Amino acid sequence: MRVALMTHSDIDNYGDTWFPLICRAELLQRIPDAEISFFSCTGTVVEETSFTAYDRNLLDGCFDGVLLTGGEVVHAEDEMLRSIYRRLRRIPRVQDPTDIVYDWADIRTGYKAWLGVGVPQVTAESAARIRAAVPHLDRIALRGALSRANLDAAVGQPMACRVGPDLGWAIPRHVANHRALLRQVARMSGISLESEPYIVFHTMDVCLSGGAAGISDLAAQLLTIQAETGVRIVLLPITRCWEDWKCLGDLSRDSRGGLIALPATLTVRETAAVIMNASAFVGSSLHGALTSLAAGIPAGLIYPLSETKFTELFAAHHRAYALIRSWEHLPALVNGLLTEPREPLRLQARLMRDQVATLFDITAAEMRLAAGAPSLPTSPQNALLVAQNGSLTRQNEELVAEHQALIAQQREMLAHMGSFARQTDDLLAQNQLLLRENQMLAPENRALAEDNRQLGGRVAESEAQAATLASENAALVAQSTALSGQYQALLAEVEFLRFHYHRKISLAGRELAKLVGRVPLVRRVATTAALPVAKGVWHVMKQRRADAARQRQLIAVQAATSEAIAAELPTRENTVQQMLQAFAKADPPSWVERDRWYSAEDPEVSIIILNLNKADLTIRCMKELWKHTVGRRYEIIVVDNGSHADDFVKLTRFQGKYRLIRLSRNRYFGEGNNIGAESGKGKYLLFLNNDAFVTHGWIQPFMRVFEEHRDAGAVGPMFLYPDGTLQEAGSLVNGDGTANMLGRNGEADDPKFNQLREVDYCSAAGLMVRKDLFDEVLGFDLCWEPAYYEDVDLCMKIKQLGYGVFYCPETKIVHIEHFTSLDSSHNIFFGNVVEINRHKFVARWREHLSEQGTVFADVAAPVLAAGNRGGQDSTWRRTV
Amino acid sequence: MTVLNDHPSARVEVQTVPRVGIFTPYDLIPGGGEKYLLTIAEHLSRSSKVYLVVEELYSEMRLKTLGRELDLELDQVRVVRHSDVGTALPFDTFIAVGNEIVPPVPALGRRNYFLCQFPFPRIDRVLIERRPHWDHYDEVLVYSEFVRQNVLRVAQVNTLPAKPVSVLAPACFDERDLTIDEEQKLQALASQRGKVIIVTVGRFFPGEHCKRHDVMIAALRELLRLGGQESEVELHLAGTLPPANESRDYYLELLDQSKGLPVHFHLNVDIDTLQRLYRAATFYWHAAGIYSDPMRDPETMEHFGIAVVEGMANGCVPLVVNKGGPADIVELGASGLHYATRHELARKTAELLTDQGKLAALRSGAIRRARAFSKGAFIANLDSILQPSTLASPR
Repeated sequence: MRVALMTHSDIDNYGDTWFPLICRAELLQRIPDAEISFFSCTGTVVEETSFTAYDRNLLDGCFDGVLLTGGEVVHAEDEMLRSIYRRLRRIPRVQDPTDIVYDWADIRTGYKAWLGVGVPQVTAESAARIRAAVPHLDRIALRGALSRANLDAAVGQPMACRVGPDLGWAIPRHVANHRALLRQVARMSGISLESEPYIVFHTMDVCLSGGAAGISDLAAQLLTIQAETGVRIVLLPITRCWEDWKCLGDLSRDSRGGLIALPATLTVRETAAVIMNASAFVGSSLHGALTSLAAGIPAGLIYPLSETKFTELFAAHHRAYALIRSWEHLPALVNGLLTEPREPLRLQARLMRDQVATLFDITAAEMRLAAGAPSLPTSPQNALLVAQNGSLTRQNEELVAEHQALIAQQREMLAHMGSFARQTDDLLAQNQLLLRENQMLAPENRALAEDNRQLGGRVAESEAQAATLASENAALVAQSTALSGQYQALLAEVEFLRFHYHRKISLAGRELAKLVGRVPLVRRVATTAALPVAKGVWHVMKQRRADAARQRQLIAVQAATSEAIAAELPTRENTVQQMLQAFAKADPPSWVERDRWYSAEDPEVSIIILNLNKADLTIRCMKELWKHTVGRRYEIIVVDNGSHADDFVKLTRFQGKYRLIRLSRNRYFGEGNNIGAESGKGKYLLFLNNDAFVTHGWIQPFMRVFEEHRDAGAVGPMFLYPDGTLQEAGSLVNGDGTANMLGRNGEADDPKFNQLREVDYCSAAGLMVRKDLFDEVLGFDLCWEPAYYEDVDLCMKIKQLGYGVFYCPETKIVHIEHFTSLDSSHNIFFGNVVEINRHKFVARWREHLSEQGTVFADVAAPVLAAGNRGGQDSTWRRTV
Repeated sequence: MTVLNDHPSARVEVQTVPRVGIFTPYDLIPGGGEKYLLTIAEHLSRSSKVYLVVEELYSEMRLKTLGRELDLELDQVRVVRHSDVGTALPFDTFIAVGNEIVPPVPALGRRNYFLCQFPFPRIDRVLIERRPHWDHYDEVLVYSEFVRQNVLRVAQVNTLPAKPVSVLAPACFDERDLTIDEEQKLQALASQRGKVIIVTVGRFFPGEHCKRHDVMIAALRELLRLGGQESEVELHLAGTLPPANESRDYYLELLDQSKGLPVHFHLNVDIDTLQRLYRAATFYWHAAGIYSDPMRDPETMEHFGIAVVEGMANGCVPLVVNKGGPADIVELGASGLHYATRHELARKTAELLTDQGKLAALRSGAIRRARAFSKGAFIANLDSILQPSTLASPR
């Protein structure tokens, strides 16, 4: 009798490699004269089996029976299978690997069956192919109810198929003399496994779940388990196609030799032998676990998903406790496995092994019948086989009876296992205690972690500042070198010209003398001819001298600027500190008198300040407001934008007149301000950064702009650096979305920057806006999150309504700049934010950006003509 | 100083009209899930007082901005913080959205609905903690049959008591202004003068639910090799760019991949621009979950595919991955095509470009199919699911 066995064993998986071995052995026991051929998608040799590449013509009419064994049907049509083939460098010889699963209608043969096949959820296309295939099958034995439900769903009606056992239950039956195999493993790897107990550990998911840190944690956990139980842990690679040996190798290395890893080159029989000799199996391989259970050894599975064939298997065998979904439960699992009674497992294994045997009894009998072979064999062994096969009903009854007996036995055992249950309860209670303890410790840990992070952040900040300073210096030095090079070149040129000039003059003089001496009449003519030449050379010389002088001057200015900046940079931090100290010194003994313009009930201006882990600065910012705000009623609203608890507590402990809105997470600059603005009662809103400090008499000029200019929608101040230099006198927007911050690094008393005028926008580090307009344009837009361009966009929206944005130099605000946004501890990386938002800004406002570059070229023209375009700045200032 | 939690939106007013609470644990950023929830909010706000319950405060302005971006009237909807609501069942109807098999918060209404976007796998502790919430919800709502099957299965595995699970497919477009007939579509395509536009719409972010723009860019490169260059093919990628660091990195990577190719990016575009794009487009491409196993990683699949339907409603022929929600929406060969690999996507698109007859048939099929997911259909379905008596009766 000729039999064809088809499989996906060419994907080199432990379970899939076993299926043809099991089928061959089981069939030969029942049909000794069977000629068995193997087919797979690629045609390959796996261990002791040689597979021919699948071709339907090779099957058609050539075999008495065709069986598909093992593997999950849907894998064949998935990109995943193709990627495994690519990784294993195996090329499917068939046009479509799914043919091997579905080509059943066209093949003419006596008997066709799927044995031990799993059916995961199917797609619309594969469902159609399944529907076409299944009517041509004589037997379907699916592994588990989940596969059964999926098949029914695919076909659209309940299928007449048998929910069979997984063929993996038969693995130990086909491992002869596993002691000899263990010795072979010892010879190959140098690791002896016979003398002392060990737990087999396998995983393929570590790398996916936690990366290097995950591996490190797991290695530590396994070492602890090994130390506490006194049982060795042996790392065993099983599923080569998933390259689990890489994870296990990393684990072994990370444990510094504390965990033993077996090589990835073991055969499936050697692998099975290692599992069958273990005290327990823990891992994420279904067939690894089945090998263990089938040998009567407890197995536990670790699998992150909540609903799979794994859950089904363990639920069906009443061992749900042994399926965990994360590493944290590993110690409890190992304890459970090491104390689990073996007897029910052994009974279970026997029952399942018998079911596999029955499946093959029936299949072999049916195949013989279909092939017209004598159905009543004559030998005593075969007579026994027929006796088993012939009375399916009786056998089923026996199985049911045996199962019931087993259940009764298990119940009896369970009754005896009271102590075990109590132990489990104790463990659970202990776990809960530990959990509670952990919960109590968690805040402390978080606080410590936070401290560490803050320290790390500060170090990183200092390093970043140092790096910026160094790069700025390097750029200036390079610039100076280039300029002095140019200067030297110019000097050389001047020298060269001077030489030619003298030479030409002397030549001209000599020619003149000759002419004078030779023909007196020509003298006048010659003099008139030589003079222009001399004059021309003199003019060139003069121009060159002037150029050289200008260059020298430029170099001197550059050098002076470079030195000044170099001198200033290291002291900038000091300047800030000195300023803050000076502010503190000027604090009044009591705030009672100073904050009398504060009005919580009826303010004209609502001042919104965001705080993100800078409580001290925010408090200072408020103190300056109380000190310097007179003549108008105001309120202060501090929005805490998700600061850490300690910083927030610092704010809440601070007593003073202001309102505090606590947001438990960072809603970013725009939304944080929107939330603050919505609770403001004033007619005007002032958005103020917490690193920006108002100065004496700041509020009245702002209010006058609104009162005297009915079309004023927003007003911005003159921003100063802590050392008094000019930071920004309003800004203009270029056609490409970049900004010109007018007056940057200039003199604060420069008349150019001391007149009220309209600009494109003012930074929201200190921007006053009419509240009704702010509401009408829906505030800062969410599309700029996490930060940058909100204020430019806001001003553009206000201008669209026909209102102007004014720069008011009488109001001066000292601004440290970048105080919060450069704080890396917020975990927001601004490297690419500005550039992306610039693109978005241009896309949104393209039609309104004028050809000349700025939104309002007429406004810009006088300022630009005055010779100071300011600094083109792509790093907008902002508190986030 | 006063610690303030009295932001105007942070108070649930005492009203006599029915009150509806809609809870979302997610950030309010324009997207499919938000459009779904806020369409419910818009509809219910016509007859009830609707509160959007969030874990941390958002401004009313943000809600209005979302309304503007998603073309919804949300002026009557209020935002309220979950911690300010209290637990004394303040709502007549309560809808909570979540990504696990059990709801993220306890029920807060007389009648409670749990909108399960997808029963994503979670660690046991979360499931155990939230397990009691399940019992107090009356019904589970899901986007599609694909999600429904997954919810039933996961509920069974976790031994949760049975509950009705209803499919409430999203409102993908408003019949009043977002539909197109074949005549109009042909005119729109004619105005492209031979240019073939492929559009896809979805947020730019990496990770397990990524829209796989990278695959589509690679497919475009292959399509151009197959002859798409002759037809002047362009790929337009539109969507919101979330504020997370990794999203920006992902976006910049896409920019890099598309160098030298006719790829156009549209970030945070308004609804009119989006509609113009849909109308000018011949194809809609979708690639989320392309190389995932729907059994092993069902969470990486597209659970419904609102933008796919928007494209279809505007006469785009959809080519979608043959798994997950879109494969249920697009009837194979009648209203679009399915594919499994990017090679197949490029090949099938190239074939359609040379078969105008088939293209026209699929286009009319797509327009017809999309009507099943109109806003009107959604509202009718919503009204039939929610208990009318609960909504009508004053407290």
